Amino acid sequence: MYSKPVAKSMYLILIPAYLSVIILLAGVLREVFFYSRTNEVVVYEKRFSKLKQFVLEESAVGYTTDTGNIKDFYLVQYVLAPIILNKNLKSKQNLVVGNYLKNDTAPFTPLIGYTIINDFGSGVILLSLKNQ
Amino acid sequence: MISFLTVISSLIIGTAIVLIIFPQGCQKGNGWILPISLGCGLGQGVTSLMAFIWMVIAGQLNHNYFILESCFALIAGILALYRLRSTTDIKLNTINDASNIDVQPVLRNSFVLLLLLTLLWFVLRSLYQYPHGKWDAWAIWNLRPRVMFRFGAQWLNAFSESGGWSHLDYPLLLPLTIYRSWVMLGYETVVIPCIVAGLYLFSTIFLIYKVVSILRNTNQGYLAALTMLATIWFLKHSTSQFADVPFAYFICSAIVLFVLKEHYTQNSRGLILLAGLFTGCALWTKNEGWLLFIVTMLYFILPFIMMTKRDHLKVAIAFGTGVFPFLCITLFFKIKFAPQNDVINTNTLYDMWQSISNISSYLEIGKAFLKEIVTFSYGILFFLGAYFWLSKADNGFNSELNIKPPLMMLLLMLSGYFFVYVITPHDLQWHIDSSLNRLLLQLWPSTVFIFFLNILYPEQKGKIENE
Repeated sequence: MYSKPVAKSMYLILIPAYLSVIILLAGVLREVFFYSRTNEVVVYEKRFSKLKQFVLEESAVGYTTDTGNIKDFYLVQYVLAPIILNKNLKSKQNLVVGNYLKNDTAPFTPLIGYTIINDFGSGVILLSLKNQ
Repeated sequence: MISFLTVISSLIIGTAIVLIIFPQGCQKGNGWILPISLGCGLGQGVTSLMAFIWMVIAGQLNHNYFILESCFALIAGILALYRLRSTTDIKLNTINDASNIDVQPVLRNSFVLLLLLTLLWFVLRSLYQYPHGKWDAWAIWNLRPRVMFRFGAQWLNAFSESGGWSHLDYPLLLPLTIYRSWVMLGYETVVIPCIVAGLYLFSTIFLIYKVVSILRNTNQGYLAALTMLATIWFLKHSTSQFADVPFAYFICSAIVLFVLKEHYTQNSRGLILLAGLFTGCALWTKNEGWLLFIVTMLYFILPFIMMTKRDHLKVAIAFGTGVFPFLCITLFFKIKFAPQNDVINTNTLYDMWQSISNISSYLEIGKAFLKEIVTFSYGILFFLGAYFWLSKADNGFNSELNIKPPLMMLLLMLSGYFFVYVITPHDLQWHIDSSLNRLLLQLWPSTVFIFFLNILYPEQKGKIENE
């Protein structure tokens, strides 16, 4: 056995190690068994699953949203890959994906020059250029 | 379970390369932990490189590629076993005199228990909480293989300029490792990125444990590994599925090999060749790999080249041989596929000069570095500081060999990171907030390794106290 001072110094490593692993494990067990929050990517996969079928043939579509959060854009891009999402709607896209999060039940104000061709619910809509 | 099979051939290839290149006779005494923990990452580097070359030449990954890869794994495995059988065990020139010291059950049991609990935590968090990883994973590292896989034969479209917001210039080790496994399986699954992330996490822990055990003693190895398990930020980040943990592993492996070289006095060029391979893997993993490459060249290679002795030139050639294939392919990828980098290429020389001459930004960056270092992983450095105060550095230790070179390498890396913030074209605060903690994380395993390499091990301390 080690002398007391040596053992004391070892506990400076052992205690944080035990604490870290136990805290992490408790956190994940609580999350999995009690809260069971659905992962945000999984939520997006579900929300956009129907829309996906409508844009399968496209190589790129436009993107519009009522939130300025860039994270939502990346999530939609990840879900719709390999279709390229284009945030810049100055270059007119035939189809535009709408991701409305603030109010997903009220009627949407479509983009100028676009018309809603499909409302998939939960804030997901598909718009198309009016002269199409 | 079948997903695990996709990483077997890369594991065999990596481990075999390590065993073949490792200095003659030194493979046996160190057991399997060291070659496997090194081979895990090296195999992924080599197979992702092979897959990329195949895709460029043949158009896409197909059955022929996997037959070739399996044959390569088989031949490499046989050669490694043959080399292992035909050599006799050579004792490593270790730093300690503690070869007959008893392993402390409290350390061994704690390590095994915490490792198992960490494995359970990793599986739950990866598969149930973050199956797709976190932001950068689904914006970059997992997005790239997903786009390539869904494009099929038109995988080149994944690098079209219209997707330029997704950092298309980032190297491909991680995306291609995932893509290769998906093609082998025939379908996309979140299990593969989780397995890859897990392999890097546990390889890093085992690598540090084993090398510190070899160079100091087993108890010190356990303490080093337990410190890694105490680093919440490192553990958590491994499940984010970013490239920072793999990159940290490659830096640590390169440094470990440079340190090991000093202790294998005969035929040590193989270790430098391996260090070159790992530096190459770092280049092929993240753009920061260029910094590691430059630092390695500056610190280890230039003095060797400047000296005219034949041995030094041979060392430089060995390192160059290891890094060369990765360097060529990364350059080819950068020139042929990748768009401009957002930090380097959007700056004009005038912009850079303006940034360099702005003194206030140095202060701001310095403060941010200090704050991040102090608060890193809930203040783990305070525990290490207290441990150092109680245990003390090993004065009988050759600092010229074991402290100065790797520490200098880390400090040069840190200075490089500092300089990137100085010249950043982005908003400085945003750039610091979004990346500094990850940059420090990249250097953390190497820091832990160097710390435990140079500190008194428990038995030494007890002996000094008794005297």
